[in-house]
Amino acid sequence: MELTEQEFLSKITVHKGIIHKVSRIYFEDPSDREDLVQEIILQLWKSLKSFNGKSQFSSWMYRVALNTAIVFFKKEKRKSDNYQMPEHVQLAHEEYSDEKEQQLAVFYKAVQQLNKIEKALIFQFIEGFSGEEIAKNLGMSPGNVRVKLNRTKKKLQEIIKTQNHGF
Amino acid sequence: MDFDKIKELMDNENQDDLQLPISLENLKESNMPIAKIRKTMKGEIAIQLVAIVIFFTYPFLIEMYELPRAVYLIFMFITSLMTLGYLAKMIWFLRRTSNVKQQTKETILNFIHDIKLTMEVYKTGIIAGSLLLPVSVAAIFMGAVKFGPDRFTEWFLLQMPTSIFSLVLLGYLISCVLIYYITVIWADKLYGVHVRKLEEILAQMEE
Repeated sequence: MELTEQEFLSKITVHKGIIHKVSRIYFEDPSDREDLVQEIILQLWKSLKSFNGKSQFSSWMYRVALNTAIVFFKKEKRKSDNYQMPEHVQLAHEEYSDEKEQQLAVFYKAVQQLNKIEKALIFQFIEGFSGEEIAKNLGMSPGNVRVKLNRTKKKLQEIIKTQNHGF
Repeated sequence: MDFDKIKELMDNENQDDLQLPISLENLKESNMPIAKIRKTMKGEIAIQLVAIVIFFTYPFLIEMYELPRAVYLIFMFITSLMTLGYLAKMIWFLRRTSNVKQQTKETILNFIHDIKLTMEVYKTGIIAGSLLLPVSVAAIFMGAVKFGPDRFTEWFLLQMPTSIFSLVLLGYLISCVLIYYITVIWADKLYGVHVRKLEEILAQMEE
């Protein structure tokens, strides 16, 4: 697909929710998220020529954004930057304007304990992709996706339970 | 856990913190493994170019015998050509490979393949070029006038007792082994780390 820079930016603005959600799922730190967002936009622009319009633009964006997040490694930080309080302590002290916001914050924090592939599985499941579609996107067998997805859902529930939250 | 509810919350989340750029020119450089490797290689080429200027200037700054100087320049020329040629070719190769538009597994496998191939070509280039280095080093030290009579010419024409020749050969072989291991360790430090991280993700898919 041939688009000018401005046309491209307008097109991805329409679907910016995809980039936002992928970055939220993959990184907790805002500066890491910012780096990932930039990388996703760069990779989308570089891969644009390969988009032939056979699938929806949003589906193609999901694939490029997810693959970028999986292959992207955040910058190494100094030790002093890496220290974080144990999660149960952090969560207990954070304040949220409402219950929904807190639920989402708990979910994002729990997701950080999953590995990159588990994150990709749970994200696509939440976004409503079928098992077949997830398998096709990741290059795994549908059976493997089914098993892994069930395992990941259980793991996520366990993480949230151990943080004394349940929803 | 109600995943529909999570989806609804995610869809309705405030996205004001996500500011898309108004122009692609403002984007930082890519931080993907292949891009990092290309950057490292470009840095190495720059360092090598500076080193080449120094290496080719040095024999003219000191008083040397003719044969050692000629041997030094020829061997250094071949060494530089080999290492620079390999690095330039790899930068060109990495520019046109690896993308993130395929299936995830395929993308990761391609990245691993490209990095491993880069590592192997890098090692071959550096090792092949460096195997000539002991001769250049010998020429520059033994051929300098301040070190006395032209010992290098005798050495180069193998005019030496068998015992000394055996020692020279042993010294050369030890240098080669050292060059080999230093290059392997260096290549692993520069590029191996990316391969290990990607293989870890691949294992997560297959476990």
